[in-house]
Amino acid sequence: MKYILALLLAASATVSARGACVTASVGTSLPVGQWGRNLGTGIEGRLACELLITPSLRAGVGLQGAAFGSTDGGSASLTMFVPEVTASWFLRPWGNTFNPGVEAAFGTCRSSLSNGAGEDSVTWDPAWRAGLRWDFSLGGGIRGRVGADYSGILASREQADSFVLLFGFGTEVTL
Amino acid sequence: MRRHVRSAALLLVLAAAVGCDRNPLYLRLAADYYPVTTIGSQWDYDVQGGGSLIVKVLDQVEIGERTCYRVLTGDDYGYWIDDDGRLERYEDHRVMFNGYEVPLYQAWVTWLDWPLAVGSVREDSITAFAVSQRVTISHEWRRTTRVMEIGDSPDGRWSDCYRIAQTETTVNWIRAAGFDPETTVVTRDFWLAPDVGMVSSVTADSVLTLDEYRPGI
Repeated sequence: MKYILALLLAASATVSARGACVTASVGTSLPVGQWGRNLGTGIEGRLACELLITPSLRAGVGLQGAAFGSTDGGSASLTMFVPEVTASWFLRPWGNTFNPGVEAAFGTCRSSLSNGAGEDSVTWDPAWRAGLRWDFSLGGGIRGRVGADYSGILASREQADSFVLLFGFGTEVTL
Repeated sequence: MRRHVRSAALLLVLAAAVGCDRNPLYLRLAADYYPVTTIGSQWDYDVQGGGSLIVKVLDQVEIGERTCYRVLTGDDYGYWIDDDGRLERYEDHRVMFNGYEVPLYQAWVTWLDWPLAVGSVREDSITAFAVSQRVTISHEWRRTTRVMEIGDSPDGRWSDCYRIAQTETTVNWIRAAGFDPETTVVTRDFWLAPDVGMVSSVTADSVLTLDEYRPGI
């Protein structure tokens, strides 16, 4: 897995790119399955820098963080931190209002559970996500983006899936 | 810019390289560590020194204006609610005085907060008074629950168990001449296995080990 990750990174970093797109997103994460039985809806934030391989095709790296709290408003919290490689493709990158696309990412998720003064052992597991995007212009070189992802953590003996709704914005920079 | 992207890529590779510390955290999050909400579930325990103890989820009843699960443990009934991220038990504290049973305190008290995390501590306490035959009886009760560690059960049969240490202190004082405060301290260690529940319990005068678990439907 590490070698595939390294290859993807090397490929994304050495391609002949025209520019890069920096995006920041926030969203809500809904656990799918039993792992979220005692957790509420989570909040999620992402930062990504993708090279523009072509105007439509992008690849890069990103950081993703998420936090979930107790359903009862208690003190439990589950935090996730995912360094990842990302790739995306957009249908109409020149489109002002209609530029649908897809995005996928793969990385390693650091998960940490705490409750009260206690904390469980941290775990690092492979993580992936894939989803749809709708990209649009906000003017002034800033682009907005909404989307939905399905993500999974390939954790030991249990897969932790979630559904994520996102809103973000980004801008293109010249290399 | 590309140099920065390469640096970020290198950092990511390093993160992936150190990312080998895996444990079944999500299995523990997904598991039910005290499955008392399925009618018909039964736990058969071996009692060290001979004998057995059967624990069975009987039905749903209403206690203290709340719907709960009634669990038969030996000859005693216990009442449980597992809802909204916490496991609650109906505490029914009584004392015998001059041949009469005097109720001191009845209420739902949280027993465990979900999800469990090693090192977490929960403290509950009660101070109550009751008057019986013109004598005041005071009652103080304190329970400390600590999540100690994750590991195998003492018999090695169950993995990913949480070991819980609980200390329960009760002070009953009949406020009349000739009576002193009566203090009782009970400590117990018990192991909870994922989707099974209590698989072992150790107190000063008993050791229980789960022999068979039959989940209800």
